[in-house]
Amino acid sequence: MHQHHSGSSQQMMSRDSARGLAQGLGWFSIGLGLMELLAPRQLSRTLGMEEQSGLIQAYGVREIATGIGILASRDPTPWVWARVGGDALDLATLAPAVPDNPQKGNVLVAMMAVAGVTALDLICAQQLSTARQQEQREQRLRYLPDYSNRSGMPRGVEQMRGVARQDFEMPRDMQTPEALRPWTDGRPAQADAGAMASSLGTATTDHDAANTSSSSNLKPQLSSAQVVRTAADQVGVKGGSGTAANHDAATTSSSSSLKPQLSSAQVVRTAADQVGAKGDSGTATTNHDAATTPSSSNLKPQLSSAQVVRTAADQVGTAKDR
Amino acid sequence: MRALCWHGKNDIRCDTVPDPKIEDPRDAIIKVTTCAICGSDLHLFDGFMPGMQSGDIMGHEFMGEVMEVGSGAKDSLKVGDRIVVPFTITCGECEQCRRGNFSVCERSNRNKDIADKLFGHTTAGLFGYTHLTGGYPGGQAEYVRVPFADKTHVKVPNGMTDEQALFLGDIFPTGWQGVVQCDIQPTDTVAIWGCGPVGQFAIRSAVLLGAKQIIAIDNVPERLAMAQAGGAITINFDEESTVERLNELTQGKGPEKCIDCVGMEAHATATLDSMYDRAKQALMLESDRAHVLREMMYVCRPAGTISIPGVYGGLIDKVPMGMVMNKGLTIRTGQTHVKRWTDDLLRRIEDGQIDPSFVITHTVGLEQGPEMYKTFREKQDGCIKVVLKP
Repeated sequence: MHQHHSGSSQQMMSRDSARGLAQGLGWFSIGLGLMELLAPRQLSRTLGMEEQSGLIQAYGVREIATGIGILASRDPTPWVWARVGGDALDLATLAPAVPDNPQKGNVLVAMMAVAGVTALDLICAQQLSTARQQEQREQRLRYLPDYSNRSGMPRGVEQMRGVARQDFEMPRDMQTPEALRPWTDGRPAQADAGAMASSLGTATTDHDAANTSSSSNLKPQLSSAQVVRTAADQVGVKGGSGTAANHDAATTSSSSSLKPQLSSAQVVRTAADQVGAKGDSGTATTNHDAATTPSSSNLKPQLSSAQVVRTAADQVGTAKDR
Repeated sequence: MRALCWHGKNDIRCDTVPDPKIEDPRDAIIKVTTCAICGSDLHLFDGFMPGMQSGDIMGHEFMGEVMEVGSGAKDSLKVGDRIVVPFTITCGECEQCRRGNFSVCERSNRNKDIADKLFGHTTAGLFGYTHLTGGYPGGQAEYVRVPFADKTHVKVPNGMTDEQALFLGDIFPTGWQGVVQCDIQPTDTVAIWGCGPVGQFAIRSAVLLGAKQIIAIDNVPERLAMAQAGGAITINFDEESTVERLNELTQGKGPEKCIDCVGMEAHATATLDSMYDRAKQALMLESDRAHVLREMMYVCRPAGTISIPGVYGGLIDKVPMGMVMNKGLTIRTGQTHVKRWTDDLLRRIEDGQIDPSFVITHTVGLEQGPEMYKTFREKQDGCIKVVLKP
């Protein structure tokens, strides 16, 4: 930790005021540009330069571009210098039009206005350039602090890696939805299964019944946490014990017709999806059974029943959505 | 008392203003011992957030000693308690607070009608952060009135310094929630855009939550050095392509989890969309610059998660929703539910897992605050986090 010692606040104010002026010039540029772009004939008539309306429109585009450049850039300095160049071009265009011009007076007024704006542009550009040079000097001279020892972890980063996984209770509303978790060969990826089990440990107390009824059908690597999680989701969604009863019914009726590798978790999950989709658990159970039974008998051996159930559930969901 | 007051874009002054008073039985008055300038304060300083009025007191990261307690808060607080005040004001009783969604408390925004119109429904009241969120005077001051003080506080245990506890009020829980809502798995690569204070805490949170690989993206060398010290692989986007490097570090697949710790003022790079954002913002056709969001959506692994703790205020343009939809990305965002995390994080500080004071680079008096706003914004003098001592 160290105390602050940067460039003087006076320099900052000078740069800020130059930037303020540049902003004003940027808006002026856009306004003038729009006028030149949209009303070139009126302008050219006023200046007695009727044949130059195309050129005036082109100058309008230039004004708008530099205006946006000034307003949008982090450092407007080059854009303000571009305005100075544009002013010179304007004066060079107006000057030859003075002799033998019926609108000579208007042209002279226009030249005086351009000269005035040119002076402002010059002052602004010079102030910005000076400030930029000063900043670059300070940048070169500035003390570059070394924060490479600021890990923020007194016991070391590697010692702390994953330490919160041991005791952090992942809030249910911030967990990746089940449907988006990695899914490999009809089951969650192994790396995630363990993680889910640990992160969902808190749900077991509240949903023992669901856990018991389903976990016996699960492969070892497929954590019972998933079943619990699904049941927990159901309870969370419905907020009543009636749902849990329906869930049990759905599990029992479905798991008996499934192969061993088809986890009850998936069945429960499907039922849960249906319950969520339909908002009526009785209907969901019926639909689920109806969808599963006719489909599973037609399946090839390598196509797991889980996939069938999932497909059926997807169909139910899709039908509803549409 | 003295306080840092907003008077317009780029204009913050140290003014003398009236002392706060108890206005409601649930209020408390605290004497601020330490406060800080937050990256999101810069959005107000730069004039990007609507709803500020001249004279508004800045600051939403502060802590101090309880000086006075309203009759309705006496069961929770007593004079002399040291507390950190969460930046989200929470009643603790509404439906959202009961669900733990403290940042969308339904009762603490006293300008609820305005917020309802702007956001559709109100969010929580915030300290020193526009009249859209209640117009509550902030904590960059000598004293602050804390509404709903019986719920809106974190007691600081004896022996813990202000510098260790202060960031429980915002940036530590903000970085933490940004990572938690990614649901980190031990196999995950997490990419974090922005190595400001919230980004630094997000990096440490990702370490604690066990991410396999953490990649931090910025262009300020000293911030990248601090990120590296916290366990991140760094990408300086001025020197290399963020997308190419991220793909290289993930065998061409992209990071599973992407976290935006930058928000609405993403700095222009040499990309076309950055220049487009600058131009549109300058012409007031867009309020927020979305370069980081677009880059995250592009590089994130399909079926991955994007977390956005960075602050956005209004409208963004050219968001590639087709990428999000077709890649099946999950987006999680929101202001921080500070109170949801503070007990756990306080324990981790006490346990020595993390010492949040690592992020402090500048400590000055309140009267130097206006100057420090500029130093912080310009990232001068190695400035990453400014702490003020009123």
